[in-house]
Amino acid sequence: MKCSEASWNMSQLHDGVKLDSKVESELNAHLKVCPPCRGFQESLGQISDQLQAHSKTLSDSVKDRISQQLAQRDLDQ
Amino acid sequence: MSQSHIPPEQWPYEYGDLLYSYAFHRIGHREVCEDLVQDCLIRGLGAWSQFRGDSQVSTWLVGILKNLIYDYFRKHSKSVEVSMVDDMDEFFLEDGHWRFETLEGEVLQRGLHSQLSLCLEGLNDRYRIPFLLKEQDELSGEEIADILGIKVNALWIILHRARLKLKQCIEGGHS
Repeated sequence: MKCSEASWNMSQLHDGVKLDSKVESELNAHLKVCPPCRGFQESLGQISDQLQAHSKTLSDSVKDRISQQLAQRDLDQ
Repeated sequence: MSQSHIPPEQWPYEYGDLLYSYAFHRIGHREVCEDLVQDCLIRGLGAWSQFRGDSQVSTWLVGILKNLIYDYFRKHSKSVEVSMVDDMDEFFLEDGHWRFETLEGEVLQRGLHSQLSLCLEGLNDRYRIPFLLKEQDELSGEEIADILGIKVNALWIILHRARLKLKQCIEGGHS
């Protein structure tokens, strides 16, 4: 199996797509001998984990602006 | 003071960061996310009488925001098209080997922490939107395909290319 095929099959597995058992066996055999593909496999999980870990902050000026709009609408209701 | 008694004008200070972070990780554009948080809180205020108190206010607001985000994706995903026989030369050599190799254990050393946000922001909408729906909202392929109006088989290709592009960007600064 080529790395290009292996990466596609790893992506499919990551997305929950069931692979043909023969293809899965070939993928596992390829992974045993291919460090770059193991690197790609590792990155799939690490990117998912990282995405959950980042947090962002809304700027104070935007909070103030929205707060004023909410206060005005609350009065109007 | 219970959460439900926080005055609406205090919502941006109480829930703003949570909502903005949620939106930013799915859309990645500051101004769009700020507008969505604003729309979310205004909708929340308008629908406040329907809030039953059987969940946290923050959870309820995230639910409103999620629907706004999906509406945004529906409106902005019209150009999401992909060839089923996509060109992979960007990532692989003719013999099928990786153009850029990162070995096992090297991904974090290559700056995943610092690079991921930048690489995501640089990723075209056609890749970033489906990728984040899958990785962050953990929607099924069928659900994402339905939101974006594409076929599931095309979605798998888009997700694969998104991962390859992110890998390449993180490894070498290629966007």
